[in-house]
Amino acid sequence: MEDEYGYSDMDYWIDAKDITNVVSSTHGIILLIHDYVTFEEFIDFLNRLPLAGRSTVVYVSLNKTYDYLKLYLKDIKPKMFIVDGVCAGLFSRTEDLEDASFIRPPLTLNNLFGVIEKYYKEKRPDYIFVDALSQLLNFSTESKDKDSFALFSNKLHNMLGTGLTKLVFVYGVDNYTQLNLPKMQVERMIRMDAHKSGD
Amino acid sequence: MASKIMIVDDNKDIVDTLKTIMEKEGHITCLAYNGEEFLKKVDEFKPDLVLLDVMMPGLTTEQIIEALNEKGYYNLKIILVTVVRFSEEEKKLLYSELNIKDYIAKPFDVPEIVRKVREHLQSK
Repeated sequence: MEDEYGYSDMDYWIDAKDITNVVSSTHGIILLIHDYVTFEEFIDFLNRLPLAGRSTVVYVSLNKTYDYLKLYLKDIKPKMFIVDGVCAGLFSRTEDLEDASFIRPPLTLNNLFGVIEKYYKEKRPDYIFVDALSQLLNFSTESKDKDSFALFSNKLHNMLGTGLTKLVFVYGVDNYTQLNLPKMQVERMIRMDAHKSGD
Repeated sequence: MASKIMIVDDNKDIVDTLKTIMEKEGHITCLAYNGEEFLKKVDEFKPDLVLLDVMMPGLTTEQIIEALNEKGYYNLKIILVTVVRFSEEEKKLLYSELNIKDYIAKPFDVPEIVRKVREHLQSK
């Protein structure tokens, strides 16, 4: 679908208020691209996820601390397990909590695969969110990171198999028009736009 | 007056942007792309202020600060420039435990970064 900006590689373009249905009907890997929506809007999206089974969401955070996330997540409906990839390297915080683990930040896709695999096996969650893939990868036109992502996504697809867990990579962008996105390596790419006043 | 600013970030685009901003302000810059490189260059450059990223390959931020303290740079002015979002309590910890002077969230606002650098360079 071609969006109003003339960018045609995106499989789907949708406003934030409709995004929940699209995510819930997709299995496998989802690339969720946004132009810095507010975290409140993101939480609103999480709250509307249709959940099944034990209804667990694993949230691997590479850019927000557990304490910061808890301020927003205290009233959230899904059962969240936070994997904090910040505090261990900054405050020496490593002691696990009932709803969180603190890890050294994954600095390569191989490291990140190890983290995802560990919590996938331990928690068997409905969703795994990784916020944000843009910490490790750059899908700008000049970057070769798309090739690295292809290998990474192969391993993830082998791990996920035909299971029901959805893996959602959050990716923040400044400019949609300079992206070279890995559309063949993910089940769905979704652009999440912030609500603008008057929508 | 020109001050000496060290810019430490593994993202070349960010480094280039900050370098341009700081040099336009009349400052002299020195660049490093990870903690190890920063620690190698800091003795020679002797910066007045450091703009430091949080999530870089190699040494953690805590290890970088520890190494700086071991070198005697207790009073070096460090501003974190990072995508990481902290709670208010954690910000207090950054200031008290790690002796960080300030925190600027990416994506940053150029006037904000200019203002904060000026403020901290002027403070004793």
